[in-house]
Amino acid sequence: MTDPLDIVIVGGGTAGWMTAAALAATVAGRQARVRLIESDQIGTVGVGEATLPQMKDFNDFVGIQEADMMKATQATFKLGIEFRDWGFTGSSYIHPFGEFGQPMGGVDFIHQWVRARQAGEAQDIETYSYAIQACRQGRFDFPVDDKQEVNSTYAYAYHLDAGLYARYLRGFAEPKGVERIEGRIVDVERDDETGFVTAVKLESGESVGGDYFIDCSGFNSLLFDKTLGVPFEDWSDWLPCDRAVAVPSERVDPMTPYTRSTALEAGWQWRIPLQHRTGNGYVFCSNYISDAEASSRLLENLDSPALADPRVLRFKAGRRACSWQGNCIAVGLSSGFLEPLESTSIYLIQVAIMALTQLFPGRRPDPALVAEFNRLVDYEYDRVRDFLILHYHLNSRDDSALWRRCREMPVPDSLREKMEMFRRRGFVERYRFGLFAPPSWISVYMGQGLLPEGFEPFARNASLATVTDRMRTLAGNIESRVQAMPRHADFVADYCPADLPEAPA
Amino acid sequence: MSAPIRKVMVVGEGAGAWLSALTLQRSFGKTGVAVELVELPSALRPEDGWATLPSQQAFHNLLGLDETKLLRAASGVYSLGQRFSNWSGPQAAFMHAYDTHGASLNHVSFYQHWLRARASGLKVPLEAFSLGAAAAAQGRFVVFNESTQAFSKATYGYNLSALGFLKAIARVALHLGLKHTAGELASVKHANGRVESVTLRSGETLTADLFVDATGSAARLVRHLEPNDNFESWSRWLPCDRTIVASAPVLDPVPAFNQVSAFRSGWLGIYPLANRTLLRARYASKHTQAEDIVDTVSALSGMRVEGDVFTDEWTTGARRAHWVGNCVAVGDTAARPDPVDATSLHLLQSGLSWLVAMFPVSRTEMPEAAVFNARMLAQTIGVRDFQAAHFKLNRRFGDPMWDDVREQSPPPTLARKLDLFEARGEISMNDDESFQEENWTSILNGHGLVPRQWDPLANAVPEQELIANFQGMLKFIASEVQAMPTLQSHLEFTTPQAESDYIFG
Repeated sequence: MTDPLDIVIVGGGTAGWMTAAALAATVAGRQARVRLIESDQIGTVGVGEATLPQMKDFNDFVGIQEADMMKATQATFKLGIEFRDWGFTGSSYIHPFGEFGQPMGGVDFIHQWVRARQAGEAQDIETYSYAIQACRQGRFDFPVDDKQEVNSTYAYAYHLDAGLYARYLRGFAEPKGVERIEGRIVDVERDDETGFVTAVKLESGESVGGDYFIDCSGFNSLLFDKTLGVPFEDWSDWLPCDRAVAVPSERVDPMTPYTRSTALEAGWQWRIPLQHRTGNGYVFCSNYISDAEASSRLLENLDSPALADPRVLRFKAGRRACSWQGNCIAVGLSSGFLEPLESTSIYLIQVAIMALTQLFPGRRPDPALVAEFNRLVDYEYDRVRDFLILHYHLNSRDDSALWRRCREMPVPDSLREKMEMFRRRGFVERYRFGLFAPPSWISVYMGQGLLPEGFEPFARNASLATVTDRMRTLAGNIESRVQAMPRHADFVADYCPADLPEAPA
Repeated sequence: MSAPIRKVMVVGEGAGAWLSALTLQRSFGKTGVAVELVELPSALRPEDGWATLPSQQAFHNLLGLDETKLLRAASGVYSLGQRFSNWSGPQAAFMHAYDTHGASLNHVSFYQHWLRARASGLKVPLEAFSLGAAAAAQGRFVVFNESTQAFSKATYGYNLSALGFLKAIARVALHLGLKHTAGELASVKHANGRVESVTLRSGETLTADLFVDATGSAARLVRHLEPNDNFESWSRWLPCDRTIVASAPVLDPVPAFNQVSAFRSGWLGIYPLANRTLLRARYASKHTQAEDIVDTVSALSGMRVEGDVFTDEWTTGARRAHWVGNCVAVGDTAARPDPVDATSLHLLQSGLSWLVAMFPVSRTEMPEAAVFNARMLAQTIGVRDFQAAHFKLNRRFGDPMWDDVREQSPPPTLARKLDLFEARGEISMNDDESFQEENWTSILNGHGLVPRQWDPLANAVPEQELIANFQGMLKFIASEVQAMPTLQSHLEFTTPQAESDYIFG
């Protein structure tokens, strides 16, 4: 291990700079020379970005201080996602980053809740979620460590400006030895025998060689698609949305501690509250609506004045057959795309980076490491996919062709069986690896109209009176605790106030 | 919702029958479900006994059983792990303790640092960094304090005398109201893929909504319902097909681990009990005669064999579907692993835990079977692979059975684990695994599988710091183990001599 490895990151953006930051925190310098090539002329996809609680683990791993990062990225806190008009028009539910209730009588809460509900003794399931109640009241505070306390039963994520996050990570990675090269890549050189990428050539004529190339080129997928031709597994039969139009608008008060997703006739609209503005977008299926119509629909729906012209992005749901081939590793959109319905974009970047640090290669890639990396990454994509399909499939909307189609489409067997077991007895599989945990499934099932008809028979060991009594106590406890929490906007203003952005040019 | 289960009937003998009956009576007896055990003539003898994994503790807790009283009834002792000798030729014997090794450093697991240190000349074996292994080797029982709690996950299984254990289990089950009928099975009536009733030699016909088949390898209920190819033999990977059981005098002081030694055509296990020592040998009938083995047992154990010696046929393998129609096969009716890893009761109790969780909500349709079968298949494969690894990695060159099994290509799930470990010393884990990373690391390393490379990230720790860190751990373990009670004194303290009727906690 005398000679440091030469690692070239192809592309900046969130994926590129997250990779750079992780390498800066671990190997850059003594063990690896890390260079990142990006061009100021190529825009990044990053708009307002909503994340998952796992992002905190990444920041901790890299050694990023939370408040500092939040200030720099105009970030706010996120306790969940509100889904409006999904399932059926006029509905609203929240997918929380937290538990529903607590286990009672030897079974998970959902079973006792179904039982109590059938006896007419339960309130709406939202009543028993601390995170949801905090969302509904626009409040935030950090969870406590003491597992006995009801305000330990949730986690949190961030809303942030992805462009600022990438810039922030750059400020972290460069002083630790990551070298940034400005330039546009015009050619890729490969070894005739092995097919390994040996160098990328810049417009300037400069050639950048390395042992490993990490493809962070986004939708362009410069190495995986354009160079290696790794096949793309197309999931658009299940996830038909293929475009998004995005626009920022002015900040809205009160600042919600959650993302909002509103179903529309040809897709859905996101709303992400940041400190300085609000991120908005309409994810749609081009079979059902034109770009222009989608843009005007989005602008009509804004709850504050737009700050720019709408921008259209094109994509296709699916993933590459593999994310590591030869000496190339795909991180982010170059490896696959799943619409941001459950804020998984940064999470999937993080998964690839963490797998890479765990399986960090030597000079030559070992096939066993490559196989394991691909297994881990595929696993995550596939699990997220089923969860996203559920949102589209489980609806009773009759107002448009898209929703009718999604309701009637055949879904993967794995998902069909999951839905059936939930309907039958409130069963949700608990994964050891990957997303999503049972409360996530429960919130979407129930929020979109699938209620369990039965529950675990074991639940009957506790008396119904005891159970309903505990449920009442729990609801009261949640209510009073939530009322004592600070308002989200106040908490952010106190903990991580960002500077006012420069006036748009 | 359709009609709930009114009655569940367990048919069989031995541990499968009694533990199923107790579990179901305890879990559903008070919820309006009648539980009946039809006990067939038992094949158990006074010499029989079981070694269990730590998972048995959770099972006792679920049943509300008092561990110390149970141990007393079963002449049981705690076992902190198993020591494997003569498996890997001149390789030193190693301890598979139920514990982790060392502490991770800089986000890199201890094992990776150990690999690096070994490459630079470290001679200290991996198990020296395991608190559990050190305690086991020195005949201690692990009592935690704050600092050991943070360092180690040491835990224990049990060694139990079969008859004493089941007598205690039966007493509790009957006390709870279990209906018990002893008899011999005359016929099984089945239709439409379901068992309808069983008829006993006495002429009595018994019906139930749900049947549990604990009749052993004959699978006398479930075999009527399943397709012909439902049993998968594992003899390619686990070639021993005969078991010899014998007793030897008690060991004083009692060792805190089991000894598992390979010999020419099988292996011999020495399992300490409170009042005797259980000896169990497994061998391949293709390669040797029973008479030769009896002499081998005495010679290898160096112990005087007392009383009768029994030989049974026990071929390894498993049913692909454990639950078919309204009949659930449990324990050795469903899967017959090699007892080499103290797994005797493990798949039984894991099946019962899942049966409680997935207990059908309806007596007419039981789609729960699909979830149950998927879980049990994963668990079963995990156990099989772990055992197959012992055999595959042997270095007993010139012994036909061992040469043969070494040449077999492993099941794909195991091949993946071996490949990754050999490449990097990492463990490729699935969602449902009976054995965890530390268990796999312990045996793969113990059998002499040497990773080609360690995690380059480990190199970030300066060598001096690493040496100091390792020395600190060894010192810590030595002084902590010194302060622990001996297993002998711990047993005398916790399992009082007074006979007690109830073993509830």
